[in-house]
Amino acid sequence: MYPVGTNVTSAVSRLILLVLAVVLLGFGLAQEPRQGGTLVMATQADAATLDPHNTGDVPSQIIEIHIYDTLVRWDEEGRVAPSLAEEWTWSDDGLTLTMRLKEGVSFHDGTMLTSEVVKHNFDWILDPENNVRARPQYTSIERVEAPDELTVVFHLGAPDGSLMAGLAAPIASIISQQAMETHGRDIALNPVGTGPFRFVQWDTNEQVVVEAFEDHHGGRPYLDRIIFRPVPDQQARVAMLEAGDAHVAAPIPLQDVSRLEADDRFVIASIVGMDNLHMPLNFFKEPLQDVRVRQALNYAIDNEAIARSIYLGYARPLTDSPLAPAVFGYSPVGEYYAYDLERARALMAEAGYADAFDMLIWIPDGRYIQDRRVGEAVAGYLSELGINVELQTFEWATYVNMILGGSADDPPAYDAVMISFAVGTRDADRGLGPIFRCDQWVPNGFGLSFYCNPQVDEWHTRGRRATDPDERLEAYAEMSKLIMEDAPAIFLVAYEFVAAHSSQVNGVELDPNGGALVMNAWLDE
Amino acid sequence: VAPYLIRRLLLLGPILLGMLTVVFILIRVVPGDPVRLMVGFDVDQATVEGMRRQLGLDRPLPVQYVDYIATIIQGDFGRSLRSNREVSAEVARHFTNTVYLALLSICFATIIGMTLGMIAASKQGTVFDYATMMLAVLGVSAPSYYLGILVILLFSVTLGWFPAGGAGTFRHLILPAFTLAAASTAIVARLTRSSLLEVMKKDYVRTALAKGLRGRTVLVRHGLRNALIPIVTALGLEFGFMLGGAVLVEVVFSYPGIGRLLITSIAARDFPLVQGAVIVTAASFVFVNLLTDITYAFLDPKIKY
Repeated sequence: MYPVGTNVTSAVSRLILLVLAVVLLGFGLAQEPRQGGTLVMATQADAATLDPHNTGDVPSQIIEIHIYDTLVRWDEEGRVAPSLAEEWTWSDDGLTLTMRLKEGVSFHDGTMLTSEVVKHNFDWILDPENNVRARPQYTSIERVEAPDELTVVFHLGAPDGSLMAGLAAPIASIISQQAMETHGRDIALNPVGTGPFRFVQWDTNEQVVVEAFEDHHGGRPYLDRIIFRPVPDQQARVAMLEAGDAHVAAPIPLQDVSRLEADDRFVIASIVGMDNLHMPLNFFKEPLQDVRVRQALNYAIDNEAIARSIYLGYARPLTDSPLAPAVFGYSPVGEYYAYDLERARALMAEAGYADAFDMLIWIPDGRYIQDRRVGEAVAGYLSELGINVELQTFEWATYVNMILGGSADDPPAYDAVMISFAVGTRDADRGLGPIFRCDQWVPNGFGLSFYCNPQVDEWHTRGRRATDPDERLEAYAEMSKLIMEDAPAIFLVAYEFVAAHSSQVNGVELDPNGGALVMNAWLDE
Repeated sequence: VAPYLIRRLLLLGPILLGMLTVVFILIRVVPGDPVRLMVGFDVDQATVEGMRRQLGLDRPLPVQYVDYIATIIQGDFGRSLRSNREVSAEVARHFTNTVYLALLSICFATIIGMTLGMIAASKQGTVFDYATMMLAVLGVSAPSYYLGILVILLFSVTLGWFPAGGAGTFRHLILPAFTLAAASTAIVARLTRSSLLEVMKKDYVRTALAKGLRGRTVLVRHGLRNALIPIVTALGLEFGFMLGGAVLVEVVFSYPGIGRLLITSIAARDFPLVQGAVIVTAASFVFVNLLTDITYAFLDPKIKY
């Protein structure tokens, strides 16, 4: 009996083991990334340039991230992690940053990454003669040294706690020195980096093609090729995905999300962006000089409802911070401007503006996600306070000119303008400084409110000078609190970027500045 | 014909110069700064002005204008402000793509339009006639971006016959060409019908029929041949428009043609590129009109220049 029993049990257990093994094997196979294949990504616009140091738009940046590496990068938690630089040390006074580069990293043109190359990149960026777009973000660097093959030393004029974030930004990508010298300005058309994909071809308005770089220092990517296709019409972008002509469509219009979500051939991905949609209030306009009026405007707007109904939930209300939650330095300062119409009315009455007044608000059309509808919603909410809002809509190029056209000597006509400031460095230093500092009024910076609070400046400077992250966070929390209190703008939402991809694609990541990244992606059979 | 041709070709010069001047002024009168649009907001004013200087945009407008005309005369259309690519190469590639699209489109319009028109004319007053003319009204009035999306949904998403957008193969051309042809097809169908009906009332048609020729032969040989002039005029004009005005279709189908180049370069205020695209569009329009005029002479020996 016993032996039989044992046999039966062992047979059963063997069967179970076998089934388990098959299941696990199958599971394992399904999970095993497959190498090969061409992935087509439908994007919203063509690249403007492939020179990372001069890039100011998302479509270009997305492609560049596939071609280039930076010295350090952001990890999944948003912390600075090693990339081309393996390790780094700060001097005690915070004025010297010494970085040790990874050994054996080669560029797509066969040259090797050395400290000389890094020095050459930064010398180029920092030389005012060259007028490089990246320069204003690295002004704390005084000079760069290359004492040996793999050591780079950055000497700063003053401590800069935001520098590491700055070095992780794609705008600080390291370009092959040889290619920079050969192509000059035309590096924009002939990008050569150390990234997982090498540049093949760029036909304007048609496609940018990149292929796997076999000698990538982080290992060869799974995909053989990526084709970035600009598809300006968002309906057509979704149609391309559905027709199987594109594997990834980024971004997609919100009204298509639920339909695609219900279809198991597609996967929806979303990420909270670095953008803070807000409306700077013009301090040269009389009623807006009163802080109570500005606070009232904030209380009168139901950001929560805007996020829910206009963004279908794909947005976070900015009621507690001037920064998007994903930006380093975001420190919620309590529910400042949760919707409270009674309070808004009381504040208006207190300020002596219980009667109707007019506001002129400028908005762009089709630049920011749902910009026009948010503008209309704001006008609706403000009418509850007896404010007659006149919304003026402009084509983007005209809009940019108009909002940057004012100055303290010649104040602009608007009472408020809609703007979303994308923080490329993902750090509060650049997220708050150019908007709220006293010395950043248009046209010098991006101070569209003409707002000035010396205490805000002080905290901003402290946040930059501190090298300890906690100290920095505290400075930005204080700064955010002051800004929320002063309400130099109507704070609206931090919207999310929504993309869709075929369920045959694995490992798609979204960039918080918008767009999809597929350098780690692979395709099913 | 020769002196006439030469006169027309000589006129092309002043027309293009006029065009150039108008575009040069217009694109600069409209607010918008190419540098600021390219770099975004997170840049200080000094850097932006430095870039402007580098691109020569800080010079007075008359100086820029004279400089521009001078380089054009040497056959150099300049470089894109944004990508630094040669304008001539960019325009040539996009324009070639548009020519392919317009050619296929005009084929669709001619074949489908004339066939429908002939059916309608020969079956005047019947259901065929009304159905065809109804279709024609639809074709003329449907906005091309809307029609384009419908066509994509049906033929790409649902049936999967053709790609939803892009370029590169003949299959990529079918849907945009079909969409672009809708309006022209309708115009051609209506013109063919009315023109045929008129010609068929003529004495020589009656004579031909009286001679005992078959109805179809009379329709094609005597009717259609004489009804062609207004149709060719319309086709010529339509072709001219397609070469410059396929903007919406090219955007919906993300097709890299001249209309799309025009739109993206205007949005970016890429002055040299806008100018290059406009010159080519204008020149081709004038040229196609010229070709149309010449075709008349072959179709109708009575026309002499």
